[in-house]
Order: sequence, then C-alpha cells, then structure tokens
Amino acid sequence: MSEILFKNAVIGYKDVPVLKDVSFTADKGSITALIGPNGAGKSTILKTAAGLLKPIDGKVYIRDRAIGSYSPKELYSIISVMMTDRVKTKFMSCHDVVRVGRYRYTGIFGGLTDNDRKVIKESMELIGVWELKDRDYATLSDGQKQRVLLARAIVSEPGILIMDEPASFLDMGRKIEFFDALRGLVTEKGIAVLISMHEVEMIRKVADKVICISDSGKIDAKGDAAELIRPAYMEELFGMKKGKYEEYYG
Amino acid sequence: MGKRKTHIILFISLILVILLLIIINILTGSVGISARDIPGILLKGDKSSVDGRIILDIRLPRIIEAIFLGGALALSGYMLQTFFLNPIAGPYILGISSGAKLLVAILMVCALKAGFAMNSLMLVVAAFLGSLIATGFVLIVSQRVRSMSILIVCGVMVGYICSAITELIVTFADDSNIVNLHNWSLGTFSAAGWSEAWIYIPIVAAGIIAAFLMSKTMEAYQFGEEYAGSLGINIYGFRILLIIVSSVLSATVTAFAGPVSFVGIAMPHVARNLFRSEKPLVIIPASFLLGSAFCLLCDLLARSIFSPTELSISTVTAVFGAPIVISMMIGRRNENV
Repeated sequence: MSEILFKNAVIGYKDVPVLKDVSFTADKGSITALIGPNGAGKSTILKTAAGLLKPIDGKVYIRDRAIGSYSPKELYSIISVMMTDRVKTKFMSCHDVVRVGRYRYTGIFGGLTDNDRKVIKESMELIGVWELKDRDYATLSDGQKQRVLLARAIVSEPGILIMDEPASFLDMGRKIEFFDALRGLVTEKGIAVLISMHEVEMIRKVADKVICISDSGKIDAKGDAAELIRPAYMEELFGMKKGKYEEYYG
Repeated sequence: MGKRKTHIILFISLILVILLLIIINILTGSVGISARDIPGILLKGDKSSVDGRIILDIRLPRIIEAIFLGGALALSGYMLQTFFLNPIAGPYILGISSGAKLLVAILMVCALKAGFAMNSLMLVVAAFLGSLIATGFVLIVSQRVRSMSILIVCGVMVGYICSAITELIVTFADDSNIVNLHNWSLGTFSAAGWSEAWIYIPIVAAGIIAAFLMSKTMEAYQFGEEYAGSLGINIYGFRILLIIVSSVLSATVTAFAGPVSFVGIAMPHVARNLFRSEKPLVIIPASFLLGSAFCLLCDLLARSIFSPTELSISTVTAVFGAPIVISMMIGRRNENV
C-alpha cells in the first residue's frame, strides 16, 4: 500500500491542466522529492496531493482510497501540509504556533490536554526547537522559523507530510540542519514525505526517490536520486547550456 | 505562566477603568446632580423626581449604549481584521457603517413620509442590509486589488458617497424629526433609551458568544487561508460566518448610534499591543472592553467639553482614533499593507 498514489492524473487549476499523465507513488518512511524548473508544476502536484486542488482527471489515491472520497476532517487527520505562506504574527510564541497544529484534537476553545502538551513537547524536541518555545516567533531567524513550522506540521501526528520548498531561503548550514531534522523525523516516525526542493546538489542525501518535472507539462523521469542527478540530465531539465552544471556544481 | 497573570491584571484594570468611567459619566452632565443623591436614585429606581429621570432615563441608558455598542464596534472591527488578515480594517473606514447609515436613512425618511413609525428591529434589519451591500462591494473590490491600502481608499470613497446621499435625503426630508435624524446621521449615543437597549443587548451578546465559539478557528485562520484549509477547516463557510457576525454587530451599532468612527479599527490594535497577544480568546474580550471604555470616555468628552452643546461622537473618536491608525500604518511601512 502506498501512502500517496497518482495514476495517469491530469492536474491543474480550474480545468486548465498544468500537468498531464502524472503517475507516481510516495511510501511510508521515505522521502519523495519533486524537482524541476520554476513554474513546471511542482506546487500543483503538492496541492493536489494535499487535497487543496481537485484532480481534473485520473486517479489520486491516499492510502488506497480516492482523495475525493475523504471528508476534510478525515483527510487532514492523515496529511499535514507545510506550504510557502509566511506566518505574519507579532505576538505569538513558538509554542503558540506549534499548538495550532493540534487543531483537530483540541476542544471547542482550543484548550490543551496533558496528552496535547506531551505531543507538542515531543515534536518540538524531536526537531530541536523546544528551547525556543517561549520566544516570539517573529523574532526568530529564518532557519529557526522553518524548523518551528516543521514541528507544527508533525504535531498533528500525520502519516503523510507534504512540503513546498521548505529550505529555499535558508543558508547552507540551516539547510543541513533542516534536512537532518526531516530525515530524523522520517526514520523515527515512519512518515511518508512528499517534498519539492531546489537543492539538487543535496538531493542524494535527502531523498529516497526523485521525480523530475520538465517544462513540457509532464513527469520527465523518476527513480533513484543517484541515477538521475547527472550533469547532462540536469542541464537538460533546467535548460542550461552544456557544461554549466559541472562548472557551477561540479 | 507569567503572561496569563499579566492578562488577568490587565482585564481587572480594564474593568476598573470602565467602572470609574461609568461613575464619572453618571455624575457629569449639564444638570448638576449631587453625588450623594445618586446611590439612592439608582437603588430605588425612583423616577418621580426630575433628577431621577435624568439619571435613569437619560444618563444610564446612554452609558449602557456606549458600553455595549462601543464594545460591539471593536469586536466587529477585530473580526473584519481577521477576515482580511490585516489589522488595518474596520467597519467605518471600509464604508460599511456608511452603507448601513444610508439604508437606515432612506427607510426612516420613507417611514416619515408614509406616516408610520419605524421600530428598532426594522432599523437593525435595514442597517444590516445596508452593511451587507457595502461589504459586498468591498469584497468585490478586494478580489480585484491585492493591496489593502487601495481597498481602504475605496472604502473611504464609498463612505463619502453614502454620507453625501444620506445628507441629501436628510436635507430634503420633512422638517419634523429631522433634527433627530441629523444628529443620528453624525453619530451619537444619545438617541437610544431602554426599549432600544432590550433589542441591542441580546444582539450584541449573541455576537460575543458567536465570536468566542469561532475563536479557535480564528486563531488557525490567522496563519493563512491555505494553512487553515489544510487543518480541515471549511474556509468558505468560516469567512461567510465572520462577515455576517461582523456585519450584524456593526449594523446594530449604526442602527442605534449612527456611524461611529475609528473604534473598530483602532481598539483591536490597542488590545493586541496592550496584551502583547494575538490569541482570539484574549483579544475578543480585550477589544470589547477597550471599545466600551473608549466610547465611555469619548462620549463623556463629547457631551462635556462644550456643554450644553454636544459634539457628535465620531468627532471625538476620530481625534483619538485616527492618530492610532496613522501610527499603525507607519509601524507597518516595511510590510505590504
């Protein structure tokens, strides 16, 4: 059983297809990475998998059930989403931010039980942000913010985690911290992760499986990272001149 | 839990300030009434004397009105701000109060012409429809422009248009009752008595309860529409509910007190900064109490500065409220307002 399964799916916005013939799976305890040029449709796949966009045609299954057959409540008890929208708050502590991730467990006024507190603490410790719990979220560095959001994403105890370029604006050190935390999480909790990322050079360490999306509106290749991330193919996928990949990333 | 302690102290202080303002408001007026007589009048409910009638039928209803409608306005503003995910929003500045005012004025004049009296509930319904029309317009504009500043300029323009038409209607209406209508169209807490209070108090109470019941979702929504959707929240339904509750509250205020400026936009901002919190469970009551206190103070000033001449309430709330809004805008200059 795959956690996420796309089969010959046509996806896009309001009957305007962005990608056709999308087929892939994402499995328990592994990280599946989407790469490709800007605007190719990575976010469209993520939003469809997260139930935020309806597939136009074809099959999109979550745990062997069509995604459309889930109620929002059921779906988001399995899936947790970390999209690119920035959190604009002034007076929220990190604990407050993470606490909101427990939404579906808490009572009518959002009060926490002992179990809620325990899960929040465990999640924040697992990502290494527990010591930030009383800090105002707005005062954190970008790297810290992203890790707090990662903690928020797992505090609902999801089976599937969907993330849109979570490390894009972090520096090299913070990127490594972030992906380390993510790897630890997947090993520990056996979550299925579907992630889009631009860090092609790091993908071998981060992802178990890579899906390459080209500008032509379809999945160009998928499989093992070590096999796919080759200079000639990267140059083709991202529309670079010959030799440029080697020149800059080699 | 140092924060919780601070919040409790702040809430207690706010209530004390409101009590103090109530006492000052009861004592102040163009007719001097001895402070010693007042407890007796209040306890016995004695309306036989002139003093008794002034306290019980003029000053007290006015205080109740400032407390409930001032609070309702602040709460309405807070819900609008949540809706737009932007602190620079309020029922007055977005033209919603003026829309309500226009429809109420039209109905009032028609009623005068037709020779029947409007009851309070009809006023509220008219105001609600007017605010929904204005809100609808604002929402249509907001889908076309992404910038909150342009939306506010549009709201202010709509406000001017509605006010101009209201003035026109009021000017050409029959002479009788026109003084009342004129006062109301500028905003005042003097128009409503006890019978009106029994209409607006339940509506405002229902609005407060609705706000509390929505507080958990409001908190999640603050993190963005998409994120809230990914928690399984029905975003469309929630937004409609927010707008309806906010409109009912601001329409009720407009129906009884006319348009009151800057309370809805400024008080939630003061609440957030005073309590250093963005939790709806804290900011809902805090905004309400601040709105009450602010309107009590402004009404006190409106009727005592040039006594016996009264200023319209919006004149006073604008003097204090507008600088708060300007400071908010300057404080946010680096962000996309």
